[in-house]
Amino acid sequence: MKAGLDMKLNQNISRLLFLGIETVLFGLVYFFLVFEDMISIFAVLAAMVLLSIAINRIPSLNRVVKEGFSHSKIPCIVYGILFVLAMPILFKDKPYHIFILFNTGLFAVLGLGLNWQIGSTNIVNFASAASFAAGAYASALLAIHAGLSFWILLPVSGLVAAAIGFILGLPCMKTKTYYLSLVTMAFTIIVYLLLNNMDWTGGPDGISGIPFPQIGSHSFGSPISLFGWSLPYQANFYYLIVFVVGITFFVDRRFRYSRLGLAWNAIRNDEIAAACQGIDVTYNKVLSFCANFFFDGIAGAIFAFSMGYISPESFSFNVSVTVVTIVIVGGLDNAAGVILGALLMILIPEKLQVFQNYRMLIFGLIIIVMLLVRPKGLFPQTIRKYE
Amino acid sequence: MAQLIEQLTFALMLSSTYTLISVGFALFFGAINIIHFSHGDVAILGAFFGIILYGVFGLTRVFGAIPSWIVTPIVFVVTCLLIGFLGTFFERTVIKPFRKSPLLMVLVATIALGIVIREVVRLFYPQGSNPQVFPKLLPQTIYGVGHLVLRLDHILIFLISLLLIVAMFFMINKTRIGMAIRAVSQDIEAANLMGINSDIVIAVTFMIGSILAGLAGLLIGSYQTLVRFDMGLMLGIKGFSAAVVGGLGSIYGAIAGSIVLGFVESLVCAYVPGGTPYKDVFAFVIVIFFLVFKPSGILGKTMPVRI
Amino acid sequence: MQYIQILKTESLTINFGGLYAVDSVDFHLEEGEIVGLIGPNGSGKSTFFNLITGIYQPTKGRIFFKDENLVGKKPHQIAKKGIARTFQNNRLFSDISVLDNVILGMHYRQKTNLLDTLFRYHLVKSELRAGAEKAMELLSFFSEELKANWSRRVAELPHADRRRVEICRALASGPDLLLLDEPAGGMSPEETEELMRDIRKVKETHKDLSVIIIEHDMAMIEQIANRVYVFNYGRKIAEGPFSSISKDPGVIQAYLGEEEEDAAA
Repeated sequence: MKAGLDMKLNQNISRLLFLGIETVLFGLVYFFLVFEDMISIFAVLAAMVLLSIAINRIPSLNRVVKEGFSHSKIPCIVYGILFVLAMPILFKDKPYHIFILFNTGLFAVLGLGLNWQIGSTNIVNFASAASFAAGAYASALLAIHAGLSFWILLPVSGLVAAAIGFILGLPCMKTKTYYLSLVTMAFTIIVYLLLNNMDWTGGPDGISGIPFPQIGSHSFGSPISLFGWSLPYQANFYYLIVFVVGITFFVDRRFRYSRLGLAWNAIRNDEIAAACQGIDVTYNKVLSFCANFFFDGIAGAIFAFSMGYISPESFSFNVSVTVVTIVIVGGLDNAAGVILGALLMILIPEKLQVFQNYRMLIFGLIIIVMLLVRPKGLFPQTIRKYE
Repeated sequence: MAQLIEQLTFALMLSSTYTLISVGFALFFGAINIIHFSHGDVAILGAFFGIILYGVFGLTRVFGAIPSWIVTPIVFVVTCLLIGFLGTFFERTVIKPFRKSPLLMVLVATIALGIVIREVVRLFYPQGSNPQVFPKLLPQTIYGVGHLVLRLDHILIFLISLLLIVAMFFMINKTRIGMAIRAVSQDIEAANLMGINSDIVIAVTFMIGSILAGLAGLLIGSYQTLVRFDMGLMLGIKGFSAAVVGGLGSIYGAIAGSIVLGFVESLVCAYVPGGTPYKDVFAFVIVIFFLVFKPSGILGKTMPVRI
Repeated sequence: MQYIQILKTESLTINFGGLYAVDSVDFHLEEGEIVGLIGPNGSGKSTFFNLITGIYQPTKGRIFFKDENLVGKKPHQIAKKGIARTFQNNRLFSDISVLDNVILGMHYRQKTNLLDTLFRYHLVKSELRAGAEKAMELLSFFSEELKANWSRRVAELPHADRRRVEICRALASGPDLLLLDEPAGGMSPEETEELMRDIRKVKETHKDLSVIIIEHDMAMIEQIANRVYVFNYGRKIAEGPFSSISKDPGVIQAYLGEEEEDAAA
């Protein structure tokens, strides 16, 4: 009896400790965003790095974190969700920060979709910018010329992008993977050139005048009043993208623990052996293309409506490279890792404005270093557990 | 008629510059089966080095005017050698570590390398994001014959490229090191077993390819008179398309592909109304078509896969 | 027993740019038989397997499986008809777990699709769980130790275990024809003994299972195979029980001494 009571006490203590560490982490994230001067920002970053190293290296701390997490999965996740939802409240006087977080969310969706292709079927798709653009331009054009509501355009943009993924993917199924990467690259640049030069896409000026989405009488262009606080209008889009990230993550979980996810992993390792198990490789590859493009299209539509205008500059080859970096850094076939990768690749450069100019250079170097040192990403794929 | 001849000379010149780059792609693919995505950026580095060197000479004019017929060859030779070494350096650091890894990783690594090169130029060269004026290294004489206007520099570019390509052919087919290169590109393991140090051969291959690329950068700078840090991406893709069209791994193929590409591009510019902004699109569409439907190109080497 | 001849090839030929890797091979296999396929390296044995499983398409000839012509069909379609194989150089899915590999063997027997994954996930979950249980059973059929290692990545396993996992994966779909390509390759004599016992065990539990086994280990072939085919330079040079083909002068000449070493093993 006493042993049982002891164990319960231990469990509760480790739970509290874990939630304590989680709070510290959230605090660090908050301060990282709030501070304005470089020194404080660097200090917070250093603290975060130290904390991660400490958790990795100090065995007792490592144990606390691991046990704490396994005992309190639900409270931990709920706590995390509450923190994420509370962000606009914490930053209600700093709309730009909410915008940065929104941007991170967009790239997280792009990354999660790309992860299905790279992490699962080994297709390094450099066309994220093109699918993103497809969703953005499709929704913008339909909104302006056909007056369709944002909520209808959201899935429609996804479908348009998925259709393009299908048209691009299907003929390429016999193409070897590295040739396919080049095809996607060429495709992205073609799309960029066309968008820049064609009249009906607005050329270099793009398309403007996209209206704000509406829910009932509430427009996304107006602030939200919540519990007596007034949150800037960016919060509307923030909550929307958090919801979409949640859905994409949820879909990823389902894909992973399914016959489909297993088939994708098989294809990634050995296409011929996969075919010999009865896996239709072509179908699965095209499916991963379409799934990726679908979510990219949705992200594109959200992007278009959040900005009110779009131009080809937002859809250059460099954008594709950014998304690829996020997946390579975050972890191939690890959704949580990809989200973290988005945080690292988008949030940090935004705050370290000094380095904004050097962003692409740093990305290039990071890719090379990651490929040399940890090609499977910071958080490689975990083993599936059943039961 | 006059215009046609002018267009043809332009097309020949364009093709020859593309050849210098696409041959590099063919050599690299032949040697170690990689697609060196930053090869175009290495070429543009040649142009930038040329500008810097010329500037250095400009400073030394204080000590007495050095005639341009001395400056130009020195700039050319020094730049090409420097780029040759730089290209080999990149191979040792970014490509060699991935020799046993899946091909995809090398591809992504070289794409990243291209980004690094472009950004370094953009950030560290003064006013890097703006187009830079390329000095007039080649004589600017223009010959007029009736309605026909021929530029000496265009002709020189074509001749210089031709000369170097022939030199490279000679080297690959008639010298011992050339034979080693051919051996390595056919079967690297067998070559190793025959006592050929494939590592050195690969380095030499990259040296040759990069020297040609450096030359291409200088020549392109000469006729375009303006160079920008991001021209390398387009150039690389075009050089690569030419190599693919002709058949990756085949030098003749690279030449054939470059001729096709150069001619299509200049003819589209000249004769298709409103076609100029789309000329690059053509290059990419061609490359997609060949990659998807005929990756062995017109004269290519296909890689049989051992199952 | 439904088919007298579960597999039959007629003049099966494949020509790689002038090289006849497999040259007019007539072959037949009766249901429930274990047939050995031997021959020097490069004699076309693995190519023969690749032809049957649809990885290569023949330039001439026909392949009949359960009286149906397989020529022109793709590998995944052929797998669905009940043919499973292992590979000479062990093509497992290296960076996922042992268990996942075996579950993948059951892929075409499973039914859930994209819509189920998104909207009827409980079906997917129970299908996977059932698959995992069956996979564990298969693993423990070989050894409890293998079963205990279910969560390790295949790349981390020793060579002999990887071969066993590959056989598990092949058996997972409950095939009618099993093609084993040098399953004892790289194994020590003890491991080879174990493997032979395991193959016999498998055959006892699946009486209708037909097997073709490519091997260099003559002792193994002698003890397991009902009949043996001998290939050389893509052609069939002998066919019959081991006792007669091992005395065939053409066969001995083809091996030129290799047989001596292996028979002594």
